[in-house]
Amino acid sequence: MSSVEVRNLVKKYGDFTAVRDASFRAETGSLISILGPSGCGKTTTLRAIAGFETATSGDILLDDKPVNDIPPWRRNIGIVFQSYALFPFMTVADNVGYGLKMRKMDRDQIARKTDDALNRVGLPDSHLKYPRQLSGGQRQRVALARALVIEPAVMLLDEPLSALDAKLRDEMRFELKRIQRQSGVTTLLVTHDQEEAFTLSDQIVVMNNAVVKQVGSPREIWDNPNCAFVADFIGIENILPAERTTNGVRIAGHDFAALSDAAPGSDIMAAFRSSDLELAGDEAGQFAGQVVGEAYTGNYNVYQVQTGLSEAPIILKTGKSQRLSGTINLKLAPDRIKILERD
Amino acid sequence: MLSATQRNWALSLPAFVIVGLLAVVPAVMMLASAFTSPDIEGFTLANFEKLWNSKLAFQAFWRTIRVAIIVTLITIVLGYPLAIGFLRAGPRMQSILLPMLVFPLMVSVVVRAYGWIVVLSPSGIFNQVLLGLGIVASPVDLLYSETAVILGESQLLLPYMVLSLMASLQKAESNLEEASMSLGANPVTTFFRIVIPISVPGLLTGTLLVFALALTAFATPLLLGGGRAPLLTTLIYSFAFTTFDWSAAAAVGLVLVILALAFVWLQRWVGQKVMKSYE
Ligand SMILES: Nc1ncnc2c1ncn2[C@@H]1O[C@H](COP(=O)(O)OP(=O)(O)OP(=O)(O)O)[C@@H](O)[C@H]1O
Ligand SMILES: [Mg+2]
Repeated sequence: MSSVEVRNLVKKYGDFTAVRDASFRAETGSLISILGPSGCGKTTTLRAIAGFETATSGDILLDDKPVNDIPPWRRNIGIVFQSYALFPFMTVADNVGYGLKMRKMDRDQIARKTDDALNRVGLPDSHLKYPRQLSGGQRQRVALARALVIEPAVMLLDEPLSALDAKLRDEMRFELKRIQRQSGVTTLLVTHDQEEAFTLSDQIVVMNNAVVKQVGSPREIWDNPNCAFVADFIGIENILPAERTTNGVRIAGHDFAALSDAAPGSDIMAAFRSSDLELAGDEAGQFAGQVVGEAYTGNYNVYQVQTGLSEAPIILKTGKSQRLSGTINLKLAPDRIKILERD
Repeated sequence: MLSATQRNWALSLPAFVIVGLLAVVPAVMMLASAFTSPDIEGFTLANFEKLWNSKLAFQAFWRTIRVAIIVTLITIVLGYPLAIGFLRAGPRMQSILLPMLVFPLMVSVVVRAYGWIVVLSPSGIFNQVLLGLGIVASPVDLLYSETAVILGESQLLLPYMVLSLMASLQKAESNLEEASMSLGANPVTTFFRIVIPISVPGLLTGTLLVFALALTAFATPLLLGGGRAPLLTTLIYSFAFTTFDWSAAAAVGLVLVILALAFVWLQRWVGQKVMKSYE
């Protein structure tokens, strides 16, 4: 087990930059996620760590030692590919035992470790089956067992749950967490599913357009996204251009109290969750709006409210028993407004 | 009304009749003639006895098997790097390489044999180079030999092997090799433990195609081997058209058919053993 660090990683394909100056670190035994939309460079980063891509510049460090010159087969990194990449002509046991065979272990030892790994992933009696005879979830477990059994320094998972249906995905998510905790292996998980990243990770690396936007714990990112992209990506509905004032922000001429250390007068973005907006009586409201659209979901109602704050309507959510129409008054608690850098 | 089965039979009957008349009947008649002889009444094994006692026929028999095996091995050894290189090449390179791979299939076998004659003849390019470099003092006699036949047929049949191997390698997921390497196998080990097994179905198809075609090739051995290196096919030709001994020709034909069937059977047997762990 080791720590993993990516330091100023750049990966170019010809003129195209797939990863631009990415840096982050996963401590020994932790689970770190790379979260971002399709095409942002997640897989490329992962492949660079595994050694399948050579970095254009920058370093990959395992236990603080650069491994740029070590080929993939000597890095001792376990990988679970999105498609699992199980060897189709080998039985489950042979798949899992492959890495041990490469390490020249004797038969008994391989058999014992294979049994052990398959038990750990909850597949105690599928040794003699072929991958094609397994369900998606079972294949995923075999891939996990195959990567874990070599006791890798680091485990890399590229969207390991994306090929599963929703129900199985939720189940495997907890399973993955349990297995990772038990084995204590440093794990790097690539995903574009924010819920997955938030439920599983100790640290999250948010990427967009080849750039690392923010690195932090789920809590930090949830409470304090640092830019409009991250705020939007984690589902904050209302992100409006604003200006910093001495003790708050000014959004389209309306002043709000807010906590921030940005310099007064600077252009920023102000963001708030629809669930943080409160309905107010006539006197206490900070701004008024007109309900222009509504949608009812199972748990809450979603309204589009046209206000003076922005051209596009802002989003407001209420409990399912609360219906709104016409002109309404709204207010926002000061600590709920997030101040973001402009992208 | 006819049932569906009856209708199917009725519809395919004309085809059966035509194939029967044009292919099966002559083949049966030909094979039957292997058991007749102008000098003897009725059924006889005289033709086979004659072959058994003929040194030439024996040589042709073993040469045919030897050539087919060597040609198959050559196409396998050359086929792997070509198939893998082709699949790894970028899309632009592939669009250049594909016609180069398939184009020879569109050129007449005879034309290609003459190509080899130009290369291998005593005054040909190959000897010119050897003489020019001072490697040999007088031209090597390569033409009209078993070597020439092997060279010609290998070149002729290589595309079949490459295309078969490519078909199975292409189906394999690209991450398999990377998975193998991440588990500690270096590229050479990965090639033998993952790439080769993955390509087994294609290797079996390619081997069947190349071996069967090499066994029954006629124009190439005739033009490049001539009378000095007869194979079973060219032996049939010389019996039929130089000595006009049709019964002897038929007997050799029967031997060739049995050889081919035995090989097909062997290939299927190996295939069934090996393919259990595939699909
Ligand atoms: N071998 C390559 N040659 C050229 N461009 C590439 C290559 N591999 C990846 N790219 C480009 O690099 C960018 C990042 O790719 P990457 O696979 O890392 O994305 P990703 O974040 O994993 O996306 P997804 O969520 O869809 O898997 C993409 O725009 C992709 O087209
Ligand atoms: Mg990806």
